[in-house]
Amino acid sequence: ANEMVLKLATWGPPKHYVAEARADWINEVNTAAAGKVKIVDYPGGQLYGPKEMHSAVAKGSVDMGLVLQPAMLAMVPMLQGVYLPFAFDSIDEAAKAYTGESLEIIEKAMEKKRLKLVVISWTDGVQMFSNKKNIQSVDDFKGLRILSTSPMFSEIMVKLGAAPDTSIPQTEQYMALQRGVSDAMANSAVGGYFQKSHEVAKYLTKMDMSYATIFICMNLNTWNKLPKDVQDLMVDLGKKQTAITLAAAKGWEAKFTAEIEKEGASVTRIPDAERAKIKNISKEVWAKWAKDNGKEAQRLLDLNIK
Amino acid sequence: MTLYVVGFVIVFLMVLASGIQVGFGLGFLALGLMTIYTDLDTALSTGVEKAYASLDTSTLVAIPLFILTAQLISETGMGKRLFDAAKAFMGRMRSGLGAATILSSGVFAAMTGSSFVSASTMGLIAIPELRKARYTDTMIAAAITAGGSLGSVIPPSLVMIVYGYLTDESVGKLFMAGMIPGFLLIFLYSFALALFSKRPSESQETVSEVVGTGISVDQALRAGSLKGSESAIELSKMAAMKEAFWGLMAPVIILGGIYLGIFTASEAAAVAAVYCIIIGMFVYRTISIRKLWQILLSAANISAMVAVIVMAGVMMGHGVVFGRIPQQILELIIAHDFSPLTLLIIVNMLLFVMGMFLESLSLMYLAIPLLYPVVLHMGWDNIWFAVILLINVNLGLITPPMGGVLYIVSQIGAIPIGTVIKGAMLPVTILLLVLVLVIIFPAIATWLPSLM
Amino acid sequence: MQKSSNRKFFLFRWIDYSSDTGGIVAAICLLVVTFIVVYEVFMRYIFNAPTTWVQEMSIYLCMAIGFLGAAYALKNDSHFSITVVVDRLNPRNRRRLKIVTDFLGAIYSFVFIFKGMEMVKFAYDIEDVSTGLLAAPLWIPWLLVPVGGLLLTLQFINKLADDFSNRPK
Ligand code: NA
Ligand code: NA
Repeated sequence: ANEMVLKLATWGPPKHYVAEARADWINEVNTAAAGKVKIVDYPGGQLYGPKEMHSAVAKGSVDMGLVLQPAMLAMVPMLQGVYLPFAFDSIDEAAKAYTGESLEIIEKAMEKKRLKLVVISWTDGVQMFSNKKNIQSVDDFKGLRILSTSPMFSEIMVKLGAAPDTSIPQTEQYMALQRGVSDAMANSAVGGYFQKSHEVAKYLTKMDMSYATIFICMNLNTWNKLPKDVQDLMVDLGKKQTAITLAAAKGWEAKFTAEIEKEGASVTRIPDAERAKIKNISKEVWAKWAKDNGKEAQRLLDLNIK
Repeated sequence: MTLYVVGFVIVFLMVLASGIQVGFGLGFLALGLMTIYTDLDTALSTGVEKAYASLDTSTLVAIPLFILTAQLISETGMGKRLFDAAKAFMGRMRSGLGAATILSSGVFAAMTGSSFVSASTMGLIAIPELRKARYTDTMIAAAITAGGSLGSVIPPSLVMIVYGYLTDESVGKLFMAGMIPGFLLIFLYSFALALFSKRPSESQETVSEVVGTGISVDQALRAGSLKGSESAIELSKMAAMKEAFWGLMAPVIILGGIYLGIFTASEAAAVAAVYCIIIGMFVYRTISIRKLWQILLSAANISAMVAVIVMAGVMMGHGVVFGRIPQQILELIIAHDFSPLTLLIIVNMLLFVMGMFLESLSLMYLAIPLLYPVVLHMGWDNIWFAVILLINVNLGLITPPMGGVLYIVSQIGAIPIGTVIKGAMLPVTILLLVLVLVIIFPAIATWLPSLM
Repeated sequence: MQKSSNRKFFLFRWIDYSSDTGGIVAAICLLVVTFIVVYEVFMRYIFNAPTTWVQEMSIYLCMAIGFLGAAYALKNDSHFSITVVVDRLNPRNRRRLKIVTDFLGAIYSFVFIFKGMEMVKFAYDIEDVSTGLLAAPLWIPWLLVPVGGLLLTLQFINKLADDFSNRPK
């Protein structure tokens, strides 16, 4: 038989629920499509890391890859429409943006860049770790040097009077927080726990700025070569994993928030009224993005923002 | 598998021996390796894509900056002044000149990041003086190769930057990990040099002229004849210290700035370079605009050479991973169920042998993708392993047949390579000793970073 | 050195100029990187106003040093190589081996020209931009790859010309 071998490049810790869900998905696909396709995992960022993955897959340097959605925003700007900072009040609300017409728009945008979205995985909400204090109000952002990677997040932070800082590479961020080069960083509770953010920035303020997703993407040409039944199989089995990771994201967030607190960090939640203020300020930034990115972007905004 | 590995090693050695520039040869080989696992077109695309990505990282911005700093330290005369100051303090001790070489290499190492650069710069400054003091060629080689190896152990360090880049470890923590091993090496080297080298003969001046001030022991003796020789040495020490002050301030600013949170470890390189430019142009007045331009050209020249090796190294790493070679090694290890100690000894022997044939960057780029999965599997401390690798990289630089530092010392000092190798046995022995100490007492490497 | 370059055919002299130009651009990039990184530290620490462009720009400048300076380093014979074995060969064989290795170098560099151009075109077609705040169109830094490859290929051809003209008597 002509079994097609698909190289899948991944990264991240193997014991993470996202990695475990992915391993199950690979097994299920390989079993169900035995003789037709075989997915081989190259783990641990050996082939490509999150920064370069989307363009490696788009070029076809690897058949499939694990893509960090926020890292791909520059290449596929439409994805910002389902990742608007402070737009979604809960992970379930954010998950709705990945359905129906909204999903069709972003899938089409990705296909233009020769990427096929195959599986969506969820991670827990992005919060704020600070080495100064917990954030009680909008005023607490004033002058705060916040490590940032996202342009839209930076814009909102500037509007809040903070000083978003993109100058420090990821490997230096721990030291930067510890030595006071920076004051704060945005990270999820689970991500922060594993990167030890809470050791150097002991004030964790929950504010659910956004919910990052992780995709398994395939090169569009490779995808089009697959038999229809294999394509459907991959997507259907993928939906199961999406649901599993959505539940795991909630469970892990609760678990590791407790761990962080147990290890001596101060965990609070920003008052609802203050978060509403930030949301209001953010609206201008979303609107500007929609205006700059055409009517598809405006449609995404209309679909996803109440 | 075995046949395949042997074949690859033979081709590899043949390419290196052909006299082709290592960066180009390694890159060529990497492309060839990839064609085994995929078609030619994909292999070439992937290779070029990886070459681009290898430089597309902020971690490596520090490399050209450290190279520039090293050039500046040498060209501004800062290095010479540091050596003179060290001589003023160590000169009267038994074999003080050797210790002075180590000490000034240590300070120099705190400003720049590479053993190779350290050895060549210190060689230019110290070899003539050591020779004047009638040091044997063997002992000269011992002192310079030893002092040079401090370059990448004492922070800042290119080896640590690359290690951090390849394993996502904090470069700041890795820098701290080199501190104690660095001081240990300074102490052991100085002690061993004093023990093994004969006392320089009495007729030789032990404290020679201090650049710029023109004050030497003889002059000081004549000028301050009433005060006697003791104070004459003191005066010279003062003068030497004054001259070396700005040089000594550089490591204080670099390490202080990192510690106080003013800049990150990678930014420190740029701060150091600007500091040296200012001191050279306005304080020492040893570099003109024209000279600065020449320094920039020469630093760009070396940086480009390093970049070619980095690109090839990353391509090679990719080829190795594409063939799932690290997984195969890991499976082999799991199947044999080695004890951690046995495994560690095997890993070190492997590194030592690889270090004999490779220069430091290629060694790192080959060894880390192969061994990092083992480190993760065994649950070894990443920082501890980084120090073990660092010592092996330094051993690689001074072990034949391919020891970059051996050749540069032979070239600068006009010393036969055989004699240099003989002299290098001293740092080789001490590095091995420190390696064993780090393996037995991991705290030597991990204690300081754990405080951060 | 001077004498031999005077005797050189104008084409090969022109190649040397192209390598020199690459070296000069690389040196300027190095100077700029040095100062903008310090500027970043200054803005962040003194004015609490980190810049949005230094980190990305310094990466591109360092890439330029590598890609554009490589041919200059080749012209200066600065690339690291192992000569222990080669030194033991007789001049005739040494020259033969040199021709082979320079030829391999030229092929390797040529890969960077045509694959680099492919990548430039790809980045341009799919309008790929950088993830940072600069949102730089990536075909611009990618252009460094074919340009650097071109300078290198030319300089390797230059070296080959030298190899052929230095026939041992
Ligand atoms: Na150093
Ligand atoms: Na060696």
